[in-house]
Amino acid sequence: MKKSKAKPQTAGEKLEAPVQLTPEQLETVAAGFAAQVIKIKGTEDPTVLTGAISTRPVLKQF
Amino acid sequence: MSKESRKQIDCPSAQPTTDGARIFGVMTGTPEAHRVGYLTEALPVSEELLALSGPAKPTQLFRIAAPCAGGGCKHFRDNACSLAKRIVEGVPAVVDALPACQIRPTCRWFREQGKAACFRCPQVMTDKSNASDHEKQIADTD
Repeated sequence: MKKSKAKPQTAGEKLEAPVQLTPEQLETVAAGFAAQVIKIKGTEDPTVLTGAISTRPVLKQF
Repeated sequence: MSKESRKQIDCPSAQPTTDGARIFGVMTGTPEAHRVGYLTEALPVSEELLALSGPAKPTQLFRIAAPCAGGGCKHFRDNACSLAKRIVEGVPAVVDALPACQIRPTCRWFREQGKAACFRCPQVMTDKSNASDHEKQIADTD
């Protein structure tokens, strides 16, 4: 049997299947993950963001 | 007659305070080895949902989509999202199939980078503590 054609290439990394959740599972999963985040909060580096940041609120400060 | 001629394009790593924000994913696993679990239905951001993050930031827990801010975002350069480009160029794919993502039809990252963005998206945490230098480099433009 052939596997799917559209496989991304990586340097020896093991690829996983994407995870899917129903809205009903959201609360349980979120609570579990939040508890773990809080545990390691002491070592947080607040400067790091991978998401888009609007520059407008920052500009408002000046 | 072009009521809706401008199609909305969404940022897949938005802040919860943005108008039109909706949750399309939630972190699974551990903060050190997290993966986005994609919801079968995107949910409008509400106080109730945000409260699930407790003292953690919602952006450490949820993946939120909202209309792309375009030129109002520091990552928007040359009419494109430079963050998506850096992610595709800088981090490896982590999944072997396209996630069943509810925002793909309007996602800026997918629109500009195609499937390559989707194969990397599950490892993206909008607000990540203890990021490596490499991750910090990808997150910031300057």
